Amino acid sequence: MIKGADVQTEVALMRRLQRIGALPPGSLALAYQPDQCDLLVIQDGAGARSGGAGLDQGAAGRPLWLIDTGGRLSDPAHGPTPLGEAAIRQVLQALLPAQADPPVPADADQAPLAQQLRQRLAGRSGRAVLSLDGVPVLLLDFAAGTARALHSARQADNLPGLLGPGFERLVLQPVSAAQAGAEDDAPPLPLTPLLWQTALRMRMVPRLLAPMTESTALRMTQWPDFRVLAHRHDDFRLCSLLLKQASTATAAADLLEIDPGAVRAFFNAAYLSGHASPEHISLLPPPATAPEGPRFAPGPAVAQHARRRQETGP
Amino acid sequence: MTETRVVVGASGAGKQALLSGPAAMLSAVLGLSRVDLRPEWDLAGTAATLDQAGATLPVVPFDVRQASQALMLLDVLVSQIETDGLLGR
Repeated sequence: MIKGADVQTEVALMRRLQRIGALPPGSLALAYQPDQCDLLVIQDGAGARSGGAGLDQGAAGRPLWLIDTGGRLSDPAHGPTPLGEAAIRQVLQALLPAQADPPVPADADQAPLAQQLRQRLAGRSGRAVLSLDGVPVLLLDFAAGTARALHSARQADNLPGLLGPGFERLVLQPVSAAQAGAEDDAPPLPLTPLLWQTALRMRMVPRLLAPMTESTALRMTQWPDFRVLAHRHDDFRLCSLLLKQASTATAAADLLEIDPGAVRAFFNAAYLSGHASPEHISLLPPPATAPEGPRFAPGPAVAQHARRRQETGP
Repeated sequence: MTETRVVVGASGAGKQALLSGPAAMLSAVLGLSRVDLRPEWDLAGTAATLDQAGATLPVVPFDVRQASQALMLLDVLVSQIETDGLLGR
């Protein structure tokens, strides 16, 4: 539990604790009820020490740390000196229950997250919590097609910017009793557009989401909601192409003369949101073999003209 | 030459004629104006109906009073025409 911190601070701390403690995956989770916590972490500031003492009264011997604005942890029982990594590791490992065998991650035998999300979207039923580094961030309602920010994530002004770069560390989990009642506390967000925007923000140099590979040809099965696409001209072109012809990311980038990284990001968004399905064959003929005959391909020049008109107005 | 058509606010009969006719061969875009007045409008349902009719058209909500949004329709249409040209259709 981190009292008074924003979601970025929580995620950063959880990653750091996981690394320092060398803990098994999934053994660290953020809880927001003091009686569910084995370790209390409180944002340092005026009143933190007295408030923390109050929280600590219910569990004698439970560690209580303070975290300052620079991310440094300290134990108020030992003064303001920041805790070293060895001291942090000692406390964390002491909290782990003794186990003969290392724990098996809960999702060890599960499909990649993108595939899980696609299946749940297509099923249109049930709910789940999306956690980032053990921090519960979103309550997903697949039946309603909505997502609600949880706890400190409600104050996040850019959820795709939070989820996208950490996509590989996201985990889909069952909804706990405490989280089940959270739906009234945050406005519902359309789930598909949120996933689309998250996919576009995954990384600076995007890689295709598993199970897609560079040899995967993707076909769009429907036009996405244009409120998802916003006004991204190259995404229009990719939609048009992939609706009519399955294509690999490389082939689509070559054909439309678009940056391959942007195409991969689009592939991820279309796949994750369920608007496209993989086909493991490349059907695109090389341009030289296209049939002869009257045809009109405005290409980038016309497209750029249209774009310029939009930017400058009528 | 590829036949192109922009349908903006067409009548029900016009839409039906387009869908049941050569829609699959057309480069077309379906623009829906005044969606802001009907926030409950089921855009996904509209797209699904088109799909079932055999015409996977882009369904674009737009505000006809804003030039940039009207031009977005043309942008989408241009992308359709470009694709048809690139694929030799």
